[in-house]
Amino acid sequence: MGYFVEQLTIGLSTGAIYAIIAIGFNLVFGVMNVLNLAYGATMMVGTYGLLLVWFLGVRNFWLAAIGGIVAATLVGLIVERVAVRPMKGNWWNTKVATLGFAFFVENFVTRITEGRSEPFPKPFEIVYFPVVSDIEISNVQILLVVASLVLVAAMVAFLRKTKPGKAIRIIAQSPDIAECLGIDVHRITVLGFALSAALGGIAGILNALTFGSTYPYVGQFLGLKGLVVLIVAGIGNMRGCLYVGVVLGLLESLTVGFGGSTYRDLVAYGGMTLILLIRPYGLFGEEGRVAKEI
Amino acid sequence: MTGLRPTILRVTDLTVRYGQVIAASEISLHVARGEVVALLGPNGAGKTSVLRSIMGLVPPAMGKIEFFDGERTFRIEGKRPHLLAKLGIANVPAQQVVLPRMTVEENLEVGGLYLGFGHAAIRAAMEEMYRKFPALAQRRRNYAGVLSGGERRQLALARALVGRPKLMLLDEPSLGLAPMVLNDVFDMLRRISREDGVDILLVEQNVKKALDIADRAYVMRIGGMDFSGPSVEVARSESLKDAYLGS
Repeated sequence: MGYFVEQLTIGLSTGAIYAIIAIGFNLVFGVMNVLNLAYGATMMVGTYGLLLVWFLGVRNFWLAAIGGIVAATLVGLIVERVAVRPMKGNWWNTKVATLGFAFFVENFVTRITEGRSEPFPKPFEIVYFPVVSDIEISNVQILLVVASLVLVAAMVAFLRKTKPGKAIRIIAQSPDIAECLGIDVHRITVLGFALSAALGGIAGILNALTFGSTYPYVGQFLGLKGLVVLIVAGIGNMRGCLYVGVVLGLLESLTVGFGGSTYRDLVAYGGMTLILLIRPYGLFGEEGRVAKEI
Repeated sequence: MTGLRPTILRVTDLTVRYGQVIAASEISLHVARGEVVALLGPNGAGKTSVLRSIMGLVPPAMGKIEFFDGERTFRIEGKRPHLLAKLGIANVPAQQVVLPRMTVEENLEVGGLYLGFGHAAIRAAMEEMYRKFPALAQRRRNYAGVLSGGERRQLALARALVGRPKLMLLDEPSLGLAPMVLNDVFDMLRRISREDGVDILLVEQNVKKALDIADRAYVMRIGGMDFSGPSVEVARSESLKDAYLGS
């Protein structure tokens, strides 16, 4: 019983990270119809940005984390400028350009860090709180779950209530109508990329915090998982990302706990295939927005 | 008559092209204050391209477009649509006229939200639209995606009006509408022109309906301007038939 619950708590915190990754993906892909394959690389940049600030002498985790998020945001803005905007909405060109950008950044970081896995600083000493009998939950796990809930709620409120948030939703439905309503589509697209990259940076940092380390290709694995969550949830749906992210985290961790880590990715990719066979729009998706565009 | 009124829109020698394909060449037209002007012509004549080019959705290849906002005249060719919207030009396209994943209420609200109006002004304009278009009032909380064709058209018009435009560019308001609804929409257009003081440039396939409400009309043939004149004369002219039937 204790072992089962332990796996559940691990799964919950992994799932929380998946959810944050997926909502960042959702912002540019689901909401603005741009498939940014450099998104994973922005997460990785978030972790190395934090390390850079840390080793420059700022030995405060939170300040260094802000540095990492800023670095990720800047990279997101560069992606929009050099790999998305010049492609003028062409799907294939955008995919290839953003993927190329990701390879460039990942190999650049590999080159300067010699590709080693880097130990990651901690915001506080990890403390385990007993919940019931021998079941414990750590403060890092609490942080992860709270962070993902807050971020998803903030994202939903931003898109529903604020002027720029509504503008993002209008662009998703018709960039032409958006322009005719007085919205500067270029400016709002840049804002969307900045927000998405910031979320990616946060997710990367939280992930590195869980594993205690980071490496230059961490974004490939995280980015793909985010994409799976987004597709299963249904493109464009923020709350769906939260539910599916958490469930995927739980399923993965139970699979690892009881079946072995070999089967972990089978859950994500096999599950995605099965769900798409039954519901091509994803679990919470709208009719007509099929993942075939990927 | 029109000579005494200021010209709100003047298009001179406008050419629109998509790559090598010329969609419209050397189009000149104008709209005076208080006018409804129809742009007619068969399918493929380039009417929609002219409209989209005026709005900046397709940058013109050549030509001059001037807009008079009541105080100053602006050169607007090649300017981005969001800037034109702020000058007071509203565009209602032929297809995909509403934002389907937003409610009727939200659709109306965003008509003024990005044009610098305050919340109170937008609220007031929305209430006015609910009075003008009672069908929309009952549908406030519905997603626009579930509305009927006629309701969508009304919503698009109302959304444009919330932004208090000076000039409205309308592409085929009759498209996909049942005959009954069609009459309602054209009555509304006439009211918008008379009561709200919005000048209208209208592209339309339904020639009879368009000439009913328009003061003047321009007729295009494939890619170019054929002739123009007051609606009554255009309606009687033999060249109108020629333009559609070919000669």
